[in-house]
Amino acid sequence: MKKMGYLIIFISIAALLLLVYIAGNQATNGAGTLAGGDDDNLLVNQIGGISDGQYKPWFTPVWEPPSGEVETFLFSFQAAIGAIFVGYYAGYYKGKKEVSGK
Amino acid sequence: MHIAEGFLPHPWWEIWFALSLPVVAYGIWKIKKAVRLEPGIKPTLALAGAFAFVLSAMKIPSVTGSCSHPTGTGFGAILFGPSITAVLGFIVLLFQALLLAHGGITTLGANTFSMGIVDPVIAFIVYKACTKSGMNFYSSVFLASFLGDIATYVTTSFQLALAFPAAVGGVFASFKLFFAIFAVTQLPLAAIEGIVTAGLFKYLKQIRPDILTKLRVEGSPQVTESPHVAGDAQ
Repeated sequence: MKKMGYLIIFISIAALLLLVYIAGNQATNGAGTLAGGDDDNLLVNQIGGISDGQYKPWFTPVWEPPSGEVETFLFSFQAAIGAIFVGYYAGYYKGKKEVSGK
Repeated sequence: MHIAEGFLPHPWWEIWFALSLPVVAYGIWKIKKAVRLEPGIKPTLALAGAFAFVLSAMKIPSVTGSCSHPTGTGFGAILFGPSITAVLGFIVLLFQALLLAHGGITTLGANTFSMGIVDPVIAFIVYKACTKSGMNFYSSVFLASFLGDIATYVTTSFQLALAFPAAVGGVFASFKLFFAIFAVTQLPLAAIEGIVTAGLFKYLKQIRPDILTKLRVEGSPQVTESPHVAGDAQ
């Protein structure tokens, strides 16, 4: 039973990877390579609109970070706040357990 | 994922909102109920939110109009189930849309659907199936968050494909193309997410074995037999 479960999981992951591989191969056929790094050109050939600049987003963000540096700062700030909370939680309950364990 | 602001044309953004909002509303009701029954889960609920916050901030550029990053919602799904995680995902996405211009208000419905609903549902089902089949706890957690993450990008590709079908081959060809671009960046990211989530669960089991019991996460004999839980019982 347990071995069956592992087998099913292994097969489904293998099938998923194969599917991705096939999809990737088909997408690149006849339109250059994905590895070439020119995804945008590829998209222009196959999906008109989204990447060749023809599609204009109909709504713009209410507020945008004024520059790349500010954006990077805000992202790392956000990650830092989240990480502080995760660390606080872990430390708080670890300490609590040590105290109550004595 | 995080489809950028304004990148979903007219019928689609309303459709995804209509699909997501009822789930979020149901999740809010579930949170209220869960907190009333067990007030001690609040900090852990916040932990799941913070985890999704941290992981979804790590974005790398991918398809135009979107990007690639781990989602972090598999953690909440395993602990609290999909509907409560949908609320956490919604809050995270709302913050990022307003404060970071990451994602958007018009695409909030679509993003909530992929990251807050499909990801947790898949993670939850995979987790339950794996533990039922007698798999190791941490392997189940890894697989659940890994496959949940992949499912998010399948959904995003599908959302983009529906909105931007290819001239030749229609929605399906477009879907394959979007997913092929996402897959390159997403497979390693999903593996990272799986490892980090499993690591956090290991820590959670050491410091708060009680919460895993309360939330009935530990369905597997692996966990009940663990020296941590047995030793901490009293």
